[in-house]
Amino acid sequence: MNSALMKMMPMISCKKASRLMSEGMNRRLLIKEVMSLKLHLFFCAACKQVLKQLKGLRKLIRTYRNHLILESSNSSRLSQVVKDKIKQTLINS
Amino acid sequence: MAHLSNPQQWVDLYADALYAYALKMISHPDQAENLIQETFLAALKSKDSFKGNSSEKTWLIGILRHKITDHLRSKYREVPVSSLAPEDTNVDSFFDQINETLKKNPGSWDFQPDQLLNKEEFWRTFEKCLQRLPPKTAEAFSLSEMEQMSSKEICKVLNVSSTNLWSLLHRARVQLRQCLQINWFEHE
Repeated sequence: MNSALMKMMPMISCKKASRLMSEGMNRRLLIKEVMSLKLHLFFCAACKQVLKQLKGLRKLIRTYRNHLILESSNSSRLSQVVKDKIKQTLINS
Repeated sequence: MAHLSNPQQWVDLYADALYAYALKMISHPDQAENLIQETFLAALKSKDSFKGNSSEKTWLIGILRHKITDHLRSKYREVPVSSLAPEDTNVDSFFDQINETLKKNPGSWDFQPDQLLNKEEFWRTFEKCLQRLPPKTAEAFSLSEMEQMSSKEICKVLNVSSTNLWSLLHRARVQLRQCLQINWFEHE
């Protein structure tokens, strides 16, 4: 890479890149931050993979959430004892 | 237009779905159970205001979501910030000390969201990984990803600054990603 460019935009570490990836999921990054993250991702296959996984996980959790709200069938999780206790509270209220 | 079923049936029909939702937001099963009971009680009180614009289940989950946010809000409002030990948001243990690269190769996650949606085992692993995070770190992540709350709102609920929130979310993502990789994706 051009040394003048390197001086202007020093390569950030994977740790710093992961922080920017995370912040970028909750706020708009500054142009300078976007540039340094893009530059890092261009050279780092591992971080590119991490970003793909984080985005995939976000999509999965959001789909799951909607699925939980809208779908009618759910596997049984709450114990019968707790369910009975809640039912009793509802009857007594 | 939807009508409400008999409140006696609510527990059998919806308690499991509410519990599954609550466990993604609250790490303590006991607290999650209490919030579900509170949700049903609140629903019983306000059943006359049910407009039928949504399904009964969506209505109940809506009440639960309010209960969870209120629970978190009061949890962090009641305790003065200064008396709380700050949670460890350091991510150093996940990165090489010298060149700051990930210690463990991220591996590849080949999954189709549709395939994992109904895989109960995956979501139990996810809950276990969430439970291993410090409480506020997990709650920040859940409010951001499950509730899709804005950063401003999350800061208000958890009583933290935005810089603190970025640290909590960063730690949550780094640790959760690694936990899922080790406990799920490497075995798939």
